[in-house]
Amino acid sequence: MLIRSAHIRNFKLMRDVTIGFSADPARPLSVIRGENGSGKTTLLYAMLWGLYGMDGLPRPTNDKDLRLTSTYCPTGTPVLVEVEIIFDHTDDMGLTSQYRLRRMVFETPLPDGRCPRGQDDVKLFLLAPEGDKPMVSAAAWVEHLIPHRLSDLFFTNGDDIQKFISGRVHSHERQDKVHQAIRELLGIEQLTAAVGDLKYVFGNLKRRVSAESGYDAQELEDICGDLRRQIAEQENIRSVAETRQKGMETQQHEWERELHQLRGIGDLDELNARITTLKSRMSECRDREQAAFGAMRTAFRGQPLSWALAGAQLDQGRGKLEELAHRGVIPNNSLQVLEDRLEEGECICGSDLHPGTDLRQHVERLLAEQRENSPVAQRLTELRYDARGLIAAGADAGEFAAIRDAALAAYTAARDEQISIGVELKQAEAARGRIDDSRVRTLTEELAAVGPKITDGIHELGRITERIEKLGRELEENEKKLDQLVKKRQANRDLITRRDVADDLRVLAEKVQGRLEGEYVARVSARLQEIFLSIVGADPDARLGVFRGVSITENFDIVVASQNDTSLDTDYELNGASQRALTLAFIWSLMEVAAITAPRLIDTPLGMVSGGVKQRMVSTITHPPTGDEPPYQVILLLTRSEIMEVGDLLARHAGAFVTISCSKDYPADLVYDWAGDEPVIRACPCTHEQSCQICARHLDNAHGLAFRDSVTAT
Amino acid sequence: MAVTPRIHDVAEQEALAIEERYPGYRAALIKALDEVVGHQSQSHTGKRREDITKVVDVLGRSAVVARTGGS
Repeated sequence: MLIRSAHIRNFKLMRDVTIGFSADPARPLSVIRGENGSGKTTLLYAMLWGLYGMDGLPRPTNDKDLRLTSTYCPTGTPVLVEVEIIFDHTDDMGLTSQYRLRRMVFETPLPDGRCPRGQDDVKLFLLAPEGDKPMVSAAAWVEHLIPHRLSDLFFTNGDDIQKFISGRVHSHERQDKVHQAIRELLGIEQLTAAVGDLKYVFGNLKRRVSAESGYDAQELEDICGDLRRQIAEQENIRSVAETRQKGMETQQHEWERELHQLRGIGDLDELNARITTLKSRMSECRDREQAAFGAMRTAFRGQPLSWALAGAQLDQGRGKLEELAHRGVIPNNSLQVLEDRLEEGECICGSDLHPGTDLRQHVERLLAEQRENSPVAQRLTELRYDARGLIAAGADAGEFAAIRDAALAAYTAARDEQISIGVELKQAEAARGRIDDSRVRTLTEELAAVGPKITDGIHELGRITERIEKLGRELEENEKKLDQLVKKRQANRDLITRRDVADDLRVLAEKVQGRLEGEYVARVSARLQEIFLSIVGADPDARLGVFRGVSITENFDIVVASQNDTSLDTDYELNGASQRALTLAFIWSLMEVAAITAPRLIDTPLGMVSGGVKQRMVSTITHPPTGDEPPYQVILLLTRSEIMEVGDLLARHAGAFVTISCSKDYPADLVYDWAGDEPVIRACPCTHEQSCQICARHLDNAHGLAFRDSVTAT
Repeated sequence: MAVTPRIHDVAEQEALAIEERYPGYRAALIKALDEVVGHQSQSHTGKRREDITKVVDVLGRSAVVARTGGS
């Protein structure tokens, strides 16, 4: 299915807008340019409503019904809302026909805000040269061509596009979406149901063959029937057990992931132990700090400080004292000598010192002087001996410096370590504060409980499978007997032929189903990797590469492999551009492998993408199909900013350009006033390099647009 | 069949492994499978199985006719 055009009337602000799309396989891209609020999302919703009715629109967040008409529509007057989509469809024989799908409804805005609507009128016409031919069951046709349940693949917007890959929805839903998309587009879903139906038809024929082969055969058929029932029962039990097992495993995975995230902050027990150790070390450091203070206090109180402060002066004084001693000034021995000489009456030199002599008077004056100086000399002598004592005590002027340096070093080391430990302690305590202690305990307990249940489940599944295999062997034996009996009796050969034909058909359907589930899903996975790595510009063998590969797991989860056999969390470890690249790669790979020809309409896909990734992304999703790739159609709803950096690519790959604008943007953004009493959306054929009197905006100069004189718009 | 062209492709490959009960049997088998898959859009199981039984009957009759050499 390729959409050629859409004609929209009275849908929101689209009063009467026609937009043409490229259906040319060589130019698969249609560019709808529009700034914020210009009507891109309105166009998306109008298309969805046209195809699927109200089911195609987002569910309202409140109880109020969505309104299709503009709030400017006068109340009390029914308004005809209409979307007409013209599309091509190529049938299984390769014949391409053109169809027109028209959906209409009357909506009546009321003064109280309600907008009652009538019944949708949906019509589908085959456009033929001889005239339009109405088709019956228009909605069923649309559902057949472009199923509503897959509308996420065909019609999406830049934000919702990530729903297959990340965020917003639970991982179960994401897996289900991926699973459903693969099964639907590859046809696995239909084949699975077809195989079930063919088994039923084959079983009926088989019973008829047996019934017509006589009593023994009927008895054997009853036994086989009973065995088949038992097998079906066991398969049902296994299916329930598998679902329960899958649920438990998924829950275990979720719990492990949550616990891992919580433990990513740090293991609680480890953190508590670490905090205790750090506090203990902190206490030791404080003790060391106090010890350093003590050593310093002791040093201040001891001789070493005195020596440090007065050592030089003491040495100087001691030198002076020694000099006095050397000169014989101290100790003062002359006093005794003079007294002795005066008592003897004879000088050392032999002169007479008896009373009355001049010499005696001289000596008596000397003695008086000596007696006057004697206490000083005595004190100096004592000081000299004291000084000698100090030296004998071995005091060292450098000792205090050594003690001080050692104490200071110990103090500094203790303080530095305290600061360092303080930082670590704060970090550890902050980390512990972020951990939801009770949640960790709960998760740990839940995981401890679910582990054995899963193991039991595996054993139970094994036992069920053994029972099924045993019943299968019994069935096979009985079927062989039955077959031999039927052949022997040459029962209704025509019926046997029909039965065998039904079996051929069943076998063929099963084989196709097996191939699609195995080989073709693997092809989607391989192509997904190729496209994704190409868009993000990743080399899986690069030494510093982050992306090693992408795959679809057996559980239908999309996994991005990174270094050292790790995988990246698509919610938290992939940036917005990579998430978009991954989702687009999935959609493109799936549609390519499934050989689906369907439109892919994306509103604002490049919002978070720039540079090389943007170039490669646009190139990948818009290039004409090559080789065995089926034709496709891509409709991108882009802002001027998104177009920047990729204008050349768009010019090369686009077969249709449309610009949409809304008159409400005059005069703030639009240059020209369109006149009119209410805001409307209009479309003009301007390309991404042009502007006109409809779409010209004040900021167009920044985009270097050429002004088109001729104005045509819808 | 519009959204599942791969079924037809793979069926053509897999049919080669099935005995050609009569000239053109494999092609008829593939066509019948297309029809069976086409009927899957019907949500009513009973009606769907009735229609599929008819598809199988047509294929079976062709095989019978081919074997017996006449209708």
